Amino acid sequence: MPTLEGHFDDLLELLGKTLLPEEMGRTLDAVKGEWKQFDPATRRFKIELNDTNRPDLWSVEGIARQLRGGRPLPGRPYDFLEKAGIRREKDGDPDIRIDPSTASVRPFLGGFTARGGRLGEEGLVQLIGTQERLSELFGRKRADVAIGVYPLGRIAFPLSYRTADPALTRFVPLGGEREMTLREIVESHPKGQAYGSLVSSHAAWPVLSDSRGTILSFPPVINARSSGEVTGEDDSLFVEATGFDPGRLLLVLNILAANLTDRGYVVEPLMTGGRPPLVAPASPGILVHVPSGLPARILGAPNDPADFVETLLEFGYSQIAQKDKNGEEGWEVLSPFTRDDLLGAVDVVEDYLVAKGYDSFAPVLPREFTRGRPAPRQKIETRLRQALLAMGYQELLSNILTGEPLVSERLGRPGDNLVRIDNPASLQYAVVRPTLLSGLLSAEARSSRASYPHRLFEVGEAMALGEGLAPTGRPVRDLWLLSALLSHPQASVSELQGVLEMVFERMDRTLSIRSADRPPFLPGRCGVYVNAGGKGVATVGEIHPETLDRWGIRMPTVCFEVDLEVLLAS
Amino acid sequence: MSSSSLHPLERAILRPFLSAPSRETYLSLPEIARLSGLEAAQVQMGVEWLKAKSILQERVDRLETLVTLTDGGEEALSRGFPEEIILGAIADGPREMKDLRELFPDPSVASKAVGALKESGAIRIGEGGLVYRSGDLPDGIRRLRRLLGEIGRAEAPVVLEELPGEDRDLLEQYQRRRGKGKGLIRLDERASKSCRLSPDCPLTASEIESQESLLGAVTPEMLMNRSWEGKSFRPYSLETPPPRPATGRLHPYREFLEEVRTHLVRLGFAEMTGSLVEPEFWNMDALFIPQTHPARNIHDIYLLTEPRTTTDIDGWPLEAVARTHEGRDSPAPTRGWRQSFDFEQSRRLLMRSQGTALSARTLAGRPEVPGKYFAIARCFRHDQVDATHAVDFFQAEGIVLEEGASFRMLLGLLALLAREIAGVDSVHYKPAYFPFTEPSVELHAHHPVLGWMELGGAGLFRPEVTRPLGVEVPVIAWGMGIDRMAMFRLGLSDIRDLFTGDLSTLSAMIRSEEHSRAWNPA
Repeated sequence: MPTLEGHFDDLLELLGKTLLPEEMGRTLDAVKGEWKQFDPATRRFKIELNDTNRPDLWSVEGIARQLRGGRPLPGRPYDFLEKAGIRREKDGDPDIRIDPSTASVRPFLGGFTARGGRLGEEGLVQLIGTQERLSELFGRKRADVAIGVYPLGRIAFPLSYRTADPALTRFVPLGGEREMTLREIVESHPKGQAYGSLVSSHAAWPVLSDSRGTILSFPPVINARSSGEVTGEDDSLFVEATGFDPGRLLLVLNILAANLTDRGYVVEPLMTGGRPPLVAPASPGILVHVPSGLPARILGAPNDPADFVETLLEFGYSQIAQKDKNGEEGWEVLSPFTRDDLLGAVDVVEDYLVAKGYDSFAPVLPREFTRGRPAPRQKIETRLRQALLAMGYQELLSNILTGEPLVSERLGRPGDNLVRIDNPASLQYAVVRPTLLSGLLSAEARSSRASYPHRLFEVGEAMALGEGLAPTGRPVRDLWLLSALLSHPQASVSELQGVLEMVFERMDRTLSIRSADRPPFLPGRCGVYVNAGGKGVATVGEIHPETLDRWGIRMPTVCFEVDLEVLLAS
Repeated sequence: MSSSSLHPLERAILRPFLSAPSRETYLSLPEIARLSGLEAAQVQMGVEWLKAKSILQERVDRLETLVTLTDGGEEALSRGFPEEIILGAIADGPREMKDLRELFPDPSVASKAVGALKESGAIRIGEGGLVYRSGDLPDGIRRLRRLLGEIGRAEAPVVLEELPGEDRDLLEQYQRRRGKGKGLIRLDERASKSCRLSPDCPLTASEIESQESLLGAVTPEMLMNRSWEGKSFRPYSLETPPPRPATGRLHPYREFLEEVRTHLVRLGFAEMTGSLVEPEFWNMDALFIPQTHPARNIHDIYLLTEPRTTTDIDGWPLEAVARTHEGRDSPAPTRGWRQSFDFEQSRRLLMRSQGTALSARTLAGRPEVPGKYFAIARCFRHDQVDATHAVDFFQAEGIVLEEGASFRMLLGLLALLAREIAGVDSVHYKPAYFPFTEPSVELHAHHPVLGWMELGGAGLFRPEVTRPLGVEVPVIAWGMGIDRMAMFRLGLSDIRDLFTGDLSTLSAMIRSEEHSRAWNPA
């Protein structure tokens, strides 16, 4: 989720009205934002934005625009869309030529100029932050969209976007001191190391240069130093974006054009060559058909169609017309030009509800009767837990992910049936527990100071690999287990066996025991209860002193583990 | 002070004091035991009671050292001393050092013993490192062995200071040579104490004897032959702290989950369960989470090493879901995500990252309409574990299928859940974003102590979710992070403590739970 930092006065200026910091929490509901931090001394704030589908809100300008109902600030119209239409009509030579060789590397580039404004210190911080969020999050670390911003001053149009030989093409990158080849940049410049892999598999790499042949940038990696770094004092800028999907490029350029317009710049669209040519910024928005009954159906109450239209227009929608589709009465709604998130009619209805304010609707309760019931397994667990409680046992609840040694070496068991995590965050939590014994022994090992006897149990989920053959491999098998531990100076298998047999009795099962040799139990003091079919249901035994020593337990300890699935099937 | 409150033990202890030539006579604990005929433990207990009642005064006469055998000492007595074992092993001819080492689990024991024997001349080491016998067991060891035997057989602990001087030297010397940890004997300091009657104690011998006729415990015999009739019972001191039984306890967090479960069942929800491992299809695709969504990358979910994917795709509405993602010929009116759908990714297995996976399965499995379903599911997120992130945690989730299910009904349901489960009345509905619901809402609740906090997320399932799964009615979906609610109830500030194996933390949790319940009987 994007987090935004800014200056409260900057936000208020863009908003065109005054708000108190205390009002921001609720105010931000309209942009699905959370007012996370405000420092009264510096007046800086942090906002967390929850809508990962609305990059237009990932800037102070964007939040202010939505809160203004999508309207431009006085004297700063969003007239670049009309200009784009005119530019398209005019045809003629493109402002940016595009070489067909870029098609396989990074095929699309769009851009515009912005003149006559002033960013100032805060505006610059915001522009850089917005560029960063758009290219990292929306552009997926520049893979889909990368953005370049330049001082316009030294750039001579038309520009050309082409590919070049990485070993022969050289320029001084931003943040560098000397000329480097593209390949050197990718190998040793920090930005090259971060983003070089997006192009390095190709033989020729993209560069953008101006009419004098000066290289402006190496998209999507880095700009050239010669075109200069943007400062707060630059009154004219050139903005471009590269990528694979013209729709996404246009969205990003529309957002940036609107943001710069809000800061007093006049945006002039540029045309990029190609078939068809690409004029940016320019996207009229998306048309969505909303059936007329839908708002009332979703809300669960009749609503006034006029209110629906009016509210949406005030929320930034530019055009709503009555229109039937497939014989269904409804509206044709044009989304704001900075938005691409509407997938269907429900999204429009949500905007309507958000604009009205969720708290303004009267909640109602579900009307239909339905039968509530716990899962059958829960009823059984409750019975088992009550039975162990009555016998003086303390219940434990452990994590399901655990460290491999705890469920293999420490128990003297092989780890070949473990369900392993391929990308563990920590080796402490790298396998799914196949047994609950480790959790009980860990607890015992940590609790030598608690007064004895210790009687512990846990019931819950576990997992192991089942039987299977290549190529599909072994399937995962969910286990449902009940385990108990008893530890005190005279702890004996028979004492715990009594408990286990009471459990069987509680579940109305009769089982016979066979002696077994199974780690971590002492040979000769371990048994397996089997059902009539000879299938193992439960293991009980005294923990081998060697195992106790590995866990650091200095008290005689006995344990059992029951496979509840098998027990119930018995 | 009333003499009638004396326990028979106390009276037995006091008798020698009261019959002594002077009321100022000091008697040591062993003397009391001898004169009263009581066991040492009984004397100790009774003296403590009498001290507490200020009838007896105690003084420390001197510190003494008790000598007892360690496990090693017991073993040396039964198996023989290392020096004896070595001499025994070479009685019939020389052996290599290596062989001698193997006689002991700890080879350094052999080295030390060989060193000692060499010093005393009992062995010599010849050509090729062979060890030859050249004398008898050193006198010191012989004597030590006899002494340890006596200590082992003694009925009362042996007092070091009471041993003859040469024995004492022998033990001290031995103890120094062996160091502390692995010795054969253990020396414990103990204060030797004696007692006398307190100067202001008014008790007399006759008072003591007069209570002889008071009855102690009620016995079955007494009841049978009515021997109690006409007699008095000795009053017991009920102020004495009683022994408390060890009890079993259910885990407080599980109890909290049970409570949530009960509430939901009561509200008409039927429980869903499922595997801890889900394919991305049910965990993500069916919920219309785009395949390129950040929540699906390896820094957010746990993937399995083996098997990596599932082959069991029977009954999956794969085609309909794929078309919906791509935005072509979808059963739902949608633009979709406009990116091609990767069927391979659908089959990839992960540790269930959200309980909503169970809702997706339920929707696809011909659910009852009207119907309400819930799950309290263990979920897994790829996070560094710290005070606010557990490696696995519980989520409560639910869906409501109803012909007229609506946004207002969703709000009503959330308010109901907040009241029933979290016990809060004041709520705020905040617009939210989830890929699978539209409209989406976050439920914020005002807690009397914690202030505004997020309780959960909810919404109406998008038609992109319901239609491909074959559901035509609107579906309300909600989820709650119950761990935070539980932490508050259980007085925890670290989420890891919910799953602790530390019995003392667990007891603290139980106490806090009982405390909060005592004050909030609801």
